Amino acid sequence: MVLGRRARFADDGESAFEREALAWIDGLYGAALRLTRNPADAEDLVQETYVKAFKSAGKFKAGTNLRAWLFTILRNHFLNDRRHENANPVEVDSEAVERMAADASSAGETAEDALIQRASDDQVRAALEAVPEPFREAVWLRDAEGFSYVEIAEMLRVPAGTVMSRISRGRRLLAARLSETGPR
Amino acid sequence: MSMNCRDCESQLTPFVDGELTEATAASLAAHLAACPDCRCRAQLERMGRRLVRERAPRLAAVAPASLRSSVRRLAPPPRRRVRPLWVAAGAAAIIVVGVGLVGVAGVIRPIPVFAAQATLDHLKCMRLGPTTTTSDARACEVSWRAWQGWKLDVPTGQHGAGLRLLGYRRCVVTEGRIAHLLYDWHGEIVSLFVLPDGPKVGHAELEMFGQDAVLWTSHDHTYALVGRGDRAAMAAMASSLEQELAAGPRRAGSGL
Repeated sequence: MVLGRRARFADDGESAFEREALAWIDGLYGAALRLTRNPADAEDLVQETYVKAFKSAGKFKAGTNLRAWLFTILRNHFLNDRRHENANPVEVDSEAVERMAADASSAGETAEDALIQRASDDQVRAALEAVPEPFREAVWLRDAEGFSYVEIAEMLRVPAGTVMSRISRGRRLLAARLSETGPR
Repeated sequence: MSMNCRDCESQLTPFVDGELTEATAASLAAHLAACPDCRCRAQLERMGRRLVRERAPRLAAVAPASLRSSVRRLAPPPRRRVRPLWVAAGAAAIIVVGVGLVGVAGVIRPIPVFAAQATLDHLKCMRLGPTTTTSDARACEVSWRAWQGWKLDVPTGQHGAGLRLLGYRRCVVTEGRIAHLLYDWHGEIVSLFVLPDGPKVGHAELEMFGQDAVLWTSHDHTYALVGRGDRAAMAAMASSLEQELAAGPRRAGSGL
């Protein structure tokens, strides 16, 4: 479980800051993959993130969340990079989300358990991929990375209320998607 | 207090995350009990939440080992003021070296001072760029000799060091008695200062003003390579330049 995990490091001369920063590389790589959808671009993005982080280590406030800070750098770098111009947040038909939610809502508690248990990792992955980026990112940052609403709001530069609504829609879209494609 | 569908929707996420106060959660639960639409929304949201939380450990990406090691190399080396080698040289050595340097330039005192001055000149001049621009090492040597009257060996830095010669600058403080060569290293400006007839300094690496300086002597000239960042890369550059200088002058015909 990623939530609440802290990097441990020995103070053997190498900077504690860099060691802790390096401990979050998997999560950052995952975020980069979701943003770029391309392993080579994701690796570049992660490297650029670390270059920036090491250069601006002095700006990092001790005691604040280093992991959230790194995710913010990564995201800003991605958005500022002209290579990713097409990656602007997707406008989503919110009525369609509601319709899907309503369609899938006939499933009961037992059906939910069965669906979750029987869905393969590939199906879950594909369903997640099908969720539009702003919602998927919010859900992942919350449920997989364990960030708070406020931390996510700072990362995405949107109000906390928007974060909650994105998480809500993202979760429902995912569940609805899996209900459509998953085993019945 | 009763809740409508709109209130319910805005509170649904903290509700399923268990982050509402007891009173608000109770009020929302009461609404859900009465409203099938909101109940369905809540159920779907719980399911999506569970899916990601339960599967995340298996779905999470793992950074490739190659990326991990590249990033590790990006981390700046531990900060040290002076290398043990230099510390071992001791104060006596500094004084001996210093006396020699004073004789040359008048304004130059011990090696740390020379290094500090070189670093400051580097920081100032890298913004201004070379006063004489040439990427041809031989042309640079000819031009320097014509101007200053002493023989300057200009390493190309192309092979091994990965440098590109930009030209030279006259050092304001030393009035041309110290040559200041500028190179491009992957977009960063690196300076090579050459002090003629200086004493032998062996090899020293110092960090000053956020820059790394590597000093050595070759063919009776004292060199200081100054640049920012990767200490290991700076040391490798210096070693490569040192080899190029030790190999002697280039064959004729490489330039003018």
